[in-house]
Amino acid sequence: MTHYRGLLAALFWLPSALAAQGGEWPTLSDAGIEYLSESGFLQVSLSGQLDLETLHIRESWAGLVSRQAGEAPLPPDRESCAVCHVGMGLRGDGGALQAYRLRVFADVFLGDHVYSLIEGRSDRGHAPSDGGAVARVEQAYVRVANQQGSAGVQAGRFTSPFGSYPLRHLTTVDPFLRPPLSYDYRTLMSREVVPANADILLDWKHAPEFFRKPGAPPVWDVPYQWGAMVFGAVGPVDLRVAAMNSAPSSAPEAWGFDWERFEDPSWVFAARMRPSPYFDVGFSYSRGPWMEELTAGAIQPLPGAPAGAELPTHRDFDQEMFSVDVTFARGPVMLRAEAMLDRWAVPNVVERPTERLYGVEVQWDLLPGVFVAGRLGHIDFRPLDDGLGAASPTGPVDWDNDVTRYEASLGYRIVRNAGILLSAYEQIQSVDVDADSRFAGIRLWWAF
Amino acid sequence: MSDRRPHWGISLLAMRTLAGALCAVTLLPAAGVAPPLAGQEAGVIEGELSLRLGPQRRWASRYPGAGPTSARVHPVPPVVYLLGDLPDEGPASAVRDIVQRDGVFTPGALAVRTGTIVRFPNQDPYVHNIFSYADPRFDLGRYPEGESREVSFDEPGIVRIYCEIHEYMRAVVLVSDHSFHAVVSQDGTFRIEGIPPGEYTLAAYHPDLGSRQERVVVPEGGTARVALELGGPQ
Repeated sequence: MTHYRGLLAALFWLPSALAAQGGEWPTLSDAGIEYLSESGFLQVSLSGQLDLETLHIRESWAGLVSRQAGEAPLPPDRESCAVCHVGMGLRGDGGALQAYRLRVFADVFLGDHVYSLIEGRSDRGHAPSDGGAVARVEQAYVRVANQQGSAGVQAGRFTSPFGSYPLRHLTTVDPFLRPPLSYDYRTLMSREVVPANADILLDWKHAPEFFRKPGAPPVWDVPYQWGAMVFGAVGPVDLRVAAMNSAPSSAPEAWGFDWERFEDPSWVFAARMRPSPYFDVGFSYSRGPWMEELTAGAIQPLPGAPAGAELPTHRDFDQEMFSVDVTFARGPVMLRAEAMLDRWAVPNVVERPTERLYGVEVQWDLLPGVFVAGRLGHIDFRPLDDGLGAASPTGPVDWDNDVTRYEASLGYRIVRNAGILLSAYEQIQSVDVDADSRFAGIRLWWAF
Repeated sequence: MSDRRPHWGISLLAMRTLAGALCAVTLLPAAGVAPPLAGQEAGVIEGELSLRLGPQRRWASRYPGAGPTSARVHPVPPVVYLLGDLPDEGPASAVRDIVQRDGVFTPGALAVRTGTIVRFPNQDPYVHNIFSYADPRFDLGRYPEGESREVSFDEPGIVRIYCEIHEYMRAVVLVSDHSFHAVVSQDGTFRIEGIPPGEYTLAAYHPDLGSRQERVVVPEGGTARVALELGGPQ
């Protein structure tokens, strides 16, 4: 309750106190905290953003947000005993979660061609949890580009160029507290446990406590991975090709630097163009290994593999994703839509489990600095053959339960560099209720 | 006018903020202003403003999106104005333009009287979204090349203007309820004419360097010469 009072005081007192001082809250730049060499060749600028959030979730989790930090120890036989746990859901104590996110950016310029960003971040986890505060270097990369910055190379740790959301996450054109459903929903896919066959995989949805809770999302929020990227333009089309050290679904533990991951990187190709001043169209593709060291289950030889052939390893199974997005912006209205196709290669499963992901978002500026936004997200999990042939009792069935999320948001920019954002969603699963979820939250943000 | 010395320091944030708020933004009347007497011949203020402004800053897009990833932050010229209870004379309210061209507001600063309408024509082949959350608070929405939006500036103050899409774009509009103001030229000089003789407070403002005030006595029918510095020791 003390946390609540403190946050409420901040929300209601601070805005009015500071807004009265002339339209903007203080920034590090205002305070002269920067370095410019005499010639202007070297420029070091510091800036940052503080987000204070109160999140309320009905269950113990919502998307990637969880009230329980870390993962509970799992029984070693979970890969085969899923049926024993039918009915075991993901309920648990919901309630409020206090979170914060402090980001500090150092933008470093060396002449007109070299740029480097170092971002330090402190929070309660990439996705908020009730764990303790942590601090880390979130981004650190060097970019060498031509004078206009339209072509060049970038290497280090940075946001994946796959999908449309990473380009605008945690900015003023990100009108919701949480990412779109495609970036904030755990499927039943396990990075560390191998199903014995397709039929077993199809049973996993009956044990969500074991499989969904630590499951891999199609895209893990905004992955900050190590990698290298080449970018440029061909006519009106901007192109990016990147080799990242992990797949879009990978968890933060996999984003760190590891040479071995670059032996078989996740490749990303992205193209973007503006066919008219109102429209922005993007396409991106990603393919690369998504599994981690196995903790349970064994990988069998691939079908048709010759006798004595080397067994595949967990690095031989790719996540393949396609994304198409369109943005329309005119007057006070901004519309965004994104469709994805996600295909997983899973050991011991012949057919690739696949899902289609959709998101439509509209933002309407009602008054200067005041907007409302709505978003609809849906994931359509495709049927998967259980591999039992004529003995199959059902034939192909969806490998996970379809899910739909309805979101609404209201934002107010107190001044140019500070505002309040309220957001809520209702998430409904098509069959089971283990992933039904409600979320509401409020954020006070200050870009300094 | 630019002193291109390197600087690496931390100034007093609170002082800058309060100075900006009290002196520049709200345009509070200054004490000690001598009201002009009827029938007196007007005078002139001519001055030079030195800016301890560093080299042109750069901006870069942090995320790998579309389009150019870097840009130069175009400098905004400073403005100078008289504080106090001045006669409401001079040209009537007019229409002025701030054009968006090549990702830059042109001109970067305007000094206008209350009631002036400022138009914002977009001459770039892409969309802009002009806004200010000072007074007046406005958001012109996204509009393309060939279109324009306008805002009436009815309250005195300094209004900082931005583009929501291109964060390196910025401009300043100084609004006063008199005409005794000027935008400082590129060579650092300025001239304010038609001032009733008397003692005034002259203020200078730059969005990166804050504000500074100087006492100035305008002789009857004569010229007062002043030299100001912004960004240096107060």
